[in-house]
Amino acid sequence: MEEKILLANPPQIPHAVLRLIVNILTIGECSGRTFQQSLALIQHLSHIPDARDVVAQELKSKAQEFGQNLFSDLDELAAALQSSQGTILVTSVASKFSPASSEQAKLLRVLKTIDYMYSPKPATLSGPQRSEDTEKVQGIYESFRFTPLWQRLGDCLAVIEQKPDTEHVATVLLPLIEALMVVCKYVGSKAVSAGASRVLRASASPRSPATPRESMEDLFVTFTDAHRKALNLMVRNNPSLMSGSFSLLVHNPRVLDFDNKRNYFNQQLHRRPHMREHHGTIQLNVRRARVFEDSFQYLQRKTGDQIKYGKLSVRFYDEEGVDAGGVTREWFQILARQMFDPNNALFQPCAADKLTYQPNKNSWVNPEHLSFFKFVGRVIGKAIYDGRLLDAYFARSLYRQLLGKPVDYKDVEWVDPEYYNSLCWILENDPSALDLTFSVEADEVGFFGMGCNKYSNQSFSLEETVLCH
Amino acid sequence: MPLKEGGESLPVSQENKREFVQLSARYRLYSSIEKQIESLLAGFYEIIPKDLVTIVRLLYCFVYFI
Repeated sequence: MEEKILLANPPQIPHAVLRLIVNILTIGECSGRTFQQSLALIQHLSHIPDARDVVAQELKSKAQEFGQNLFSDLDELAAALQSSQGTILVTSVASKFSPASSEQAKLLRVLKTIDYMYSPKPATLSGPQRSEDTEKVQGIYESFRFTPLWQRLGDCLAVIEQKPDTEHVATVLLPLIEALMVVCKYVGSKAVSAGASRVLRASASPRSPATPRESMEDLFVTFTDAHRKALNLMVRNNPSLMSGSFSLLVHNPRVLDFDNKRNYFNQQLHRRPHMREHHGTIQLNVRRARVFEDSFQYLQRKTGDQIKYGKLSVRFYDEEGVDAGGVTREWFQILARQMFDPNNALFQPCAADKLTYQPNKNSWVNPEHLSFFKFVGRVIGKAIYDGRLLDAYFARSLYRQLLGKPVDYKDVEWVDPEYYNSLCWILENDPSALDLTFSVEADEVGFFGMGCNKYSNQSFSLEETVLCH
Repeated sequence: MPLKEGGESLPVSQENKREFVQLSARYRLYSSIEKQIESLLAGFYEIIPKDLVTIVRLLYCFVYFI
């Protein structure tokens, strides 16, 4: 209400004065605190009609200006890097980029401000306004025509990657790389598939004219592909980058190395957005011979969140000992063994290796089988969440499904090599003579107990499986 | 069991064999054990958010705890 009354008579601030705000960000250094306060100030002023557009316009022209200056600075840097003069020249040129008052730091501040102004604030904007803002900010980013700048940046990084002694210079360019991530923010999720389809299209008809948006998608994919090494190094040295603009990198699954992906995954997994509710301890009392059933019975009454956030504390009946972690570790071990127990009929191993498992299609003989499968899923999740070893290996296709990826016919080879061979035969030959139809005989599917001989010496963990893709 | 609607009367030919291979594989790896897999996934996603898993496309069950 109060806001409405205030807005009915907004203060009159001349545009020329509004534009001055931007100077806080662009003259000299700007401490983190000052930056935060300026963002808040701009946010408040944005309630005045036109104010946001006026400020955005000013930010835009500043960004343009910094971009042009940086282009020639990068030229100089590229020349220094390529010259055989060695590190002295490079260091002196690179020093231009380091301070908080450097052009690239200013550019990043300006871009982050634009990003902040148009990012949806929780619970303030409705859907249509939100997408309108996204369109606006994308329009601003596209209007920069920064492509040559990013290309120049890429050139510098390419030289750096070939000269190990100049590796530190890559770190100096971090603000500019971050700036690139900011302007690519909305490219994100669509980038990879779009990039891939573009590749196909390009091979069909070379140089199909691209819209600014498409060329930004291309830019993101090509840049991140080309500079994987430097980007990974930066993330490794400074993992907190991934909670900011660098999180965009996960949209191009080829870029991040396994350790960096894992760190990001853990960072996100253990982030608790809601208030710290206390979930207490999960006190499990189980019989050693019946760990699987006892744990199932007890945990079935718990919610997912209780299991996820609760601290496990395990006791075996009739045994002394306080669980300082060791007993829980043992519990996971026994659990992994017992869930594959043939008497439960839940899983079937591949005949040869007895190491990789696939759900048993006849598991219904165990009337509670579906609740048990849910329990197994929770246990896998809990082991990951708590960073525990779960000595259980599943067929590759099950991992794919956990990752939300579609089934691939090649994965049949894991489960049933003979059937896989017949599928391959069909692909390589003309199947018309076989008189097949689009149907299967339900009983014919006896592929669980068979085969897998080819892989008898291999067991695959999720991480290996996923890294291969 | 038809692999698609009206599949019993649809012959597999040179033209549609890729689809047949894809559907057969899906049946073997998923449809025939759909309930089991979906139950397992439901439990798993209670602990590990699905969108995080699919975006990172990375999991590791087997971290040795030292």
